[in-house]
Amino acid sequence: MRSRIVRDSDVVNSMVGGLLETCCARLIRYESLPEDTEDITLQFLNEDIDTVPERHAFLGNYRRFCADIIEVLVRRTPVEAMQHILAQATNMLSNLYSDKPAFQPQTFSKNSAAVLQVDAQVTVIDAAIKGYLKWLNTQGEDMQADERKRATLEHSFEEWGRQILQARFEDPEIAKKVISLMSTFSTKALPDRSAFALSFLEYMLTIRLADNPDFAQYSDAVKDLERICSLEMQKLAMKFADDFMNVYEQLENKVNEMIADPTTDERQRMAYSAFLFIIIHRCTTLDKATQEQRMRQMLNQVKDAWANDGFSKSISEFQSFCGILGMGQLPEFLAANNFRGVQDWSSQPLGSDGQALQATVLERSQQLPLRLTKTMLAASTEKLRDGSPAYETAAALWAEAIPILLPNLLQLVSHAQAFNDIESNWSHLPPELQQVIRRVLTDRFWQAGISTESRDDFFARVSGSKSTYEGFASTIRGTVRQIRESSYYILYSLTKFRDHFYGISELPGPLSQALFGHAHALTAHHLSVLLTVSTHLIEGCPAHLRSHFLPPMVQGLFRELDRKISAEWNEVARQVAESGDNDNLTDEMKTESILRQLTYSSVSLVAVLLDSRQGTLRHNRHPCR
Amino acid sequence: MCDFLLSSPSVLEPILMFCNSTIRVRDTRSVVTIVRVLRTLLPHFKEKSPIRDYFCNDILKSAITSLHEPYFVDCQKELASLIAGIIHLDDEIPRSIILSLPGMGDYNRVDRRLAKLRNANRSDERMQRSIVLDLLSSIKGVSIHEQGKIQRSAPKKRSAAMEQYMAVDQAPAIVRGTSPGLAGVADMFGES
Repeated sequence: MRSRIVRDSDVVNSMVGGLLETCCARLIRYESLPEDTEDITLQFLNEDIDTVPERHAFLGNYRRFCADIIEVLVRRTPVEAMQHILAQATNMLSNLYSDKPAFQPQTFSKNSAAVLQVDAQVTVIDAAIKGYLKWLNTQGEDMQADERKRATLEHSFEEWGRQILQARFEDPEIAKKVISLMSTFSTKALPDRSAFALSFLEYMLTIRLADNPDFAQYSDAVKDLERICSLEMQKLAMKFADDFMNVYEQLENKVNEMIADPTTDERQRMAYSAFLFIIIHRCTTLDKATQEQRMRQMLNQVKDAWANDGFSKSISEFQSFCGILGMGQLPEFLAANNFRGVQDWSSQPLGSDGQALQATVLERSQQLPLRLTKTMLAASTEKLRDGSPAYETAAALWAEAIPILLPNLLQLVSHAQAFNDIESNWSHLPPELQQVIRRVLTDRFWQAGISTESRDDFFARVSGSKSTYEGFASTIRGTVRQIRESSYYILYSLTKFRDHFYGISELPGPLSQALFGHAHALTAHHLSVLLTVSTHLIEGCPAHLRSHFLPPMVQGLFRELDRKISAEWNEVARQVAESGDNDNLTDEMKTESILRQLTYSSVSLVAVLLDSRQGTLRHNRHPCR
Repeated sequence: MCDFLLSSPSVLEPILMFCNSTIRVRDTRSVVTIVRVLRTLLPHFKEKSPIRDYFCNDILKSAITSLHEPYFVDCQKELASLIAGIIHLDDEIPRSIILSLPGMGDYNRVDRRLAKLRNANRSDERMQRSIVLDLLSSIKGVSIHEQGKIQRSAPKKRSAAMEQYMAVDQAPAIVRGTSPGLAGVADMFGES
């Protein structure tokens, strides 16, 4: 189909209708259907293909091919193909529940028949839009005719979109898919139609589905939907800042109303503030002084949170750091509840005091200013080109905040890594309790091709064990890990402000100390995350600041990599040498595969750093990153 | 970036130490990559310096050690090229290390091979490699850890199984023309 001769031949021409029909009908996610389905296609597949991974691979390719064909067909005859596809979608969406019971939160499932149907339809339209955008890029000889076609298409897109926006979907999973589809329409297919963007925005501001904590899966999906809405709102604000500025007051009122709503969670509140921030920051119609003043006002939230004396004091020591996370009495709790004596943590239900402690830890960790900072940084830097006026404004304003937040941020990273360092922080405990802490810090994880259960089963197992001993352990290690990774993200985002970050005179030593001081205690998997952020930090350093910034960073990083990687390989060799017949080969393979990845990522960094040919090339690329 | 690192020995040092450990790691892809990187660095250290000594000593020893472990058969080409490059760096240290290896007591033989290596065309990778592999052929399959002539960190104890594995007299070098029965395949194409 990619060849013109084939595409335009009579044989293909006569097949187009059927082909489009088949491809649209086959984009169902068959792998999500239940095993005992009556679906004929899947029964056929089960006969034909023996193993689940093979079936997945086959279906993956099949999906890709179907989507490709739709894309090509739309590109070939955009008006007719789009018309057909959109009509079909309307038909499906309006008859969604005609052959099945109406949606109810208690029967919610991510893979219900209705969800799969919508998913297939959305995939079809996504592929079609891709084809349309390609068609736009390669418009041919007859400019006028093409222009007319474009206008017709845009008009039909907008009309169709508005029609969809009239509908309300009670199933959060379906609503999610519809919203991401509308986002594609608004930002990609209709970038000049701000009226549509506004309607879409209004839709997202009013969509709120009633949460129902009695049904965990449903409740999670509703929260997910909220997050997606706020993310899409932010994306829209970046694209249509000037248009949203025109109605800013109304938007602000509405958003403030939602922020004030007690059922809105903290994370959403921040996302809403970030939405307003983006409009002010990205619009080009506000005068610079007002713009800066309003942005500064919003950023002061971030500064104040970090500059708080009580906060600084509470994270000055490792013990008090555990204290503000509600983990001050963790060892005592573990001992009192006999974690040591329980073999299978995932089947041991957690008592009410344990659940209370779990909730406290989660809540306390939310009070750290990490998320707020992350959200505001993302709002300030995403989709901005270096050197653009908006970038300059952001850089200047953050330059005021960076020195204030850095000391405490580094302190947090350092403690969050030290948490895993049994020798330095838990050595005062009796050895058997140290062993328990070690087990608390051991991740459960899933790896493609090695784990015996499917990915979904793994996630179901993890989320199903929330209120067990294992779930408790998971909350503890997850919280600390979250602190580390949020801090990494903040550091990574700060590199975008180049000299304002790299040029800080007392940064390199303390940063290296914070990142690598306890790095040896991290597992290979967590160390790879640290390696990724370190790679960004090192590569992003402006050339004239290298002698200032790089020495402590490179020394610290490679000292730890060398230490960790050598030790782990020796350990692997030891295990292989001592292995018997009955050993747990899966665990061995997991360890080795992660270690291989870590080793190779480190090696790749060396290759980049010491590549004399690439040196100039990368250097030239930097200013536009 | 590269120029900056090469001009700052204190920053380069931990990177090279990492590279040195990586030569011994049981991951072919990583070893091959790191050995290639190290080779590209050699021209920068023609002058005598602590870094050049590090190449001639520690890195050379690691490369030789890996060259003689069966696991690294797939990296031998790269390892041999690196060893050749290091030999060109310095007349003394690599020679004394090679002479200290077991079975390398024949000074004349070693010197003849080294001279051959020096006189051969340096851009002829294949030639350089084959001279090195030939030079070091006699110590194949012998763990130099146990020879005690090279002072490395405390030798690790090997399990009985490992010992047995190491003792097998297999030649990791690929000898061409020994594959049997290819005639049948050639026949399928009508002529060879």
